[in-house]
Amino acid sequence: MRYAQGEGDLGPEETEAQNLVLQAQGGDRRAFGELIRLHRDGVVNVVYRLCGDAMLAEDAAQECFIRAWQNLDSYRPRSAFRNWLYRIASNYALTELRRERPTTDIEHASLGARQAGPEATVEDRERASVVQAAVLALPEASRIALVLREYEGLSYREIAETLDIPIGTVMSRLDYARGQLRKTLASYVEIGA
Amino acid sequence: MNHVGQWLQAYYDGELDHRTAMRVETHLAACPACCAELEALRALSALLQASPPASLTPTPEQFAAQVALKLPRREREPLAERSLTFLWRLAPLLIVTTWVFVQSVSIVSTGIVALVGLGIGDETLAALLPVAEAGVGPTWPSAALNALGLDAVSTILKELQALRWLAVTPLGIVVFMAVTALAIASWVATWLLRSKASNRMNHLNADG
Repeated sequence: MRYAQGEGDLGPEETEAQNLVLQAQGGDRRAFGELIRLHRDGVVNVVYRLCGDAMLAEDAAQECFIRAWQNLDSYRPRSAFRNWLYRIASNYALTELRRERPTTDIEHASLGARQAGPEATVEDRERASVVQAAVLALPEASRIALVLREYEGLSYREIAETLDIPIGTVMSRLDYARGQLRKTLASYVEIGA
Repeated sequence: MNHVGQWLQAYYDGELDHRTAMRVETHLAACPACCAELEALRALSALLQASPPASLTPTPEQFAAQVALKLPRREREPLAERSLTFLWRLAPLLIVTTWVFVQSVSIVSTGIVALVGLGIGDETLAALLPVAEAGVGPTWPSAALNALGLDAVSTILKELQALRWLAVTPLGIVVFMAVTALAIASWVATWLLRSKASNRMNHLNADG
């Protein structure tokens, strides 16, 4: 079985990011600020989806950008800057999760419900809670692959580069994550279909 | 019927090449079971996407400003280190240029010897040959460089007369090629090691 080769050329957004990275590597803080503005939402979203805590996600995102700034010289433009950031973000998020006192699924689930916003119905909030809890219940390795694929739309190749694993491993982790979620969220999946 | 369950995920994610995707589509047109699997994947994705993202209070500009306040100073690589890096990157070009020059001298000298030996060359041509007894190397490289206005290089070459055997004797040519190959191989090995170390640091830094 052969897979699509994937995008060989960088898109215009990533080309712009690479130019900004070059300037930032020369010490240009304004350029790095622009990089933060471009990638903030993605980084925050990755951390949030991995650990289910919005406040932690914001703090973690700040810490990720600080680390990226400090280690900017070690970044090589072989892969997208975004993927490099996501690697920092996912590792930081999981480290923080392991460091935190274990919380129950209900506590994490309620955080997911609060993110739904005041206009959401009770059913929406409940669904959001259950989905969030189900994702958080996944093993870390599968959870990261799922979050990067489903919420950030990374290709298999990009996920493999971000996590430094083979594409086959990406596929098997995704397959496992989706299989587990289909079992856990069976009733919601059937209703949605 | 052979089902396409193992390919469905990749098909759904748009990761299959065109030919394999067409095969899956052909199968899906005739297989309700696999169609149901694909629909289940779509329903799961829709459920996951419906979960709202984190809502943040600061705007992106405010967030960037907050981070900017916390950024430490970045120190540029010292000039000496940058110069060494530049010279290291220039090294293969210098090695290859030297090799090309020496090979050119060898080939042209061999050509001149062959022509004179065949009686084709005149006295001028013979004068370009090395005079072994006087210990003087080929004169034509210096003449060519002077003609091109590269007198300084010609002077340096005259100082390196002791190494003329590298270009004109078979042993010298073999030794020179071996040394050049070793130099290039060493540079490539160093470059590979540095790349690996850099990648490792890249990952370690990303891993915090």
